Amino acid sequence: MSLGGLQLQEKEVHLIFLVDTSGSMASNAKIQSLNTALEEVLPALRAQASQLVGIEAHVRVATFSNGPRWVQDAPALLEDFWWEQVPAEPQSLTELGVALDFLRRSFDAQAHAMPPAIVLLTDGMPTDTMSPTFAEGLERLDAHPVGRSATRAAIAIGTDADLSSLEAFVAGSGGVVLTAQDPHQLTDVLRTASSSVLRAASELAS
Amino acid sequence: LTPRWIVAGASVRGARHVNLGEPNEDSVRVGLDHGRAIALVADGHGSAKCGRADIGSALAVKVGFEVLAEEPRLELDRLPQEITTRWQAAVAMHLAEHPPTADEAEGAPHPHYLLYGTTLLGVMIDGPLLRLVQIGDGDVLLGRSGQEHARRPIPPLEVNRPGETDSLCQHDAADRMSVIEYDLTDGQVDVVLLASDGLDTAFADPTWHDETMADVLRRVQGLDAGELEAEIAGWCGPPAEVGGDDTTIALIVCRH
Repeated sequence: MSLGGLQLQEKEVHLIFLVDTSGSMASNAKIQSLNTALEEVLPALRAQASQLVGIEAHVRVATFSNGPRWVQDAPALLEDFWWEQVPAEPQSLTELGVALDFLRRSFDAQAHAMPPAIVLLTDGMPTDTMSPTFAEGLERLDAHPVGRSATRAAIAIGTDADLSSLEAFVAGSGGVVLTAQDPHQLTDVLRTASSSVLRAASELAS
Repeated sequence: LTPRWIVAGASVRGARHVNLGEPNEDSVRVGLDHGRAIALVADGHGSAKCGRADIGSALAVKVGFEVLAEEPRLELDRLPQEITTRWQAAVAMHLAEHPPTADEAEGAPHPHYLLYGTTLLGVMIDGPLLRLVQIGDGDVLLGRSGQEHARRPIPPLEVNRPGETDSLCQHDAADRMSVIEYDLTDGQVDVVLLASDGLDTAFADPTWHDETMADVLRRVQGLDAGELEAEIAGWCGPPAEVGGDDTTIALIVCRH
């Protein structure tokens, strides 16, 4: 019996995949590789989460092209989560700044939540035709108490990704930028990135 | 009638640390010294950058006890600098005997205080005087029988970076440390509770303080120091198991 007879709980840590579904992701089967890789890393992530005693790991997926959207209505328990294939959106742009601001706004209701782990996957360069631009969106995310505490990793898919933007995204978070040139590499780097940010986010709970 | 104080404390390693084979990074120290009651709790940081946090927290309660016991009348505003300086000296001595490994040194700022990062809560009662020091998260509650609300002398931290907290390892630690002094002439306190944040974060309801203090006031009645320590260890177990974090509680109990 706890003191005061009060209810006890595990800590929630959220793993967020921010996935580029712009038109260019349709070329060279990049979106298929991404869908396959995310399916393949889930068993290892579930195994890792099961070892994190006192931590309840949740997953949520946001895609972005001309605009961002959540794939699920709410975060799902990692142990119950199955990857839902996401398509590329033909001729759409890479509005990463809008997507980062979308994440930032979602954190407003969680000012005292544990910092999430964010894995960004993209093959391109922020197109910045909308507001906020990438620089503005990142500045807003970094200014948010939850956003700036998030552990982050970024994965460049193919050879055209703008590495300087990805390095700016992870700067200060202790995270890494990894590059994947082919589907096999993508699975490997995604496993590494997801595992490291989930571990780092769970360390903040101690 | 002069009150008699009983002090006791206990710490339980969090289930997450047990599972990973990692040490309990919390430390607790309590004692009676020349009639003064002293209790300290420290919570070493869980970050991978703080690989010696268990040692840092042990050094924090050691030097905290020394300062509160040896210098009970030190001017209040000098306490933070005194504690911080002595903790840094203790860390420097440990570093000299146990230099950082290549992995520990990589990317770590000199002089490596971050490796030992820890919070510190401390309370000393000397006659009618109660002194409290705090840097970082954790809770100090003052309870009195018959009163509905537990007093929280230091307001909850404004959360700027969730999951992170102020620390003795920061260069401006002395400025970040809170110090408060109370006059207990009216016998206003029956129990002082200090707890690492393993207790706070394990509760589903963030407003756990009043119900918990009411329960503590009931449970401590009639216990001697040995019984109290065993009782506290039992209280630390469920939050350490469910919340997964190291959980530490120290009590100063008044026997009128």
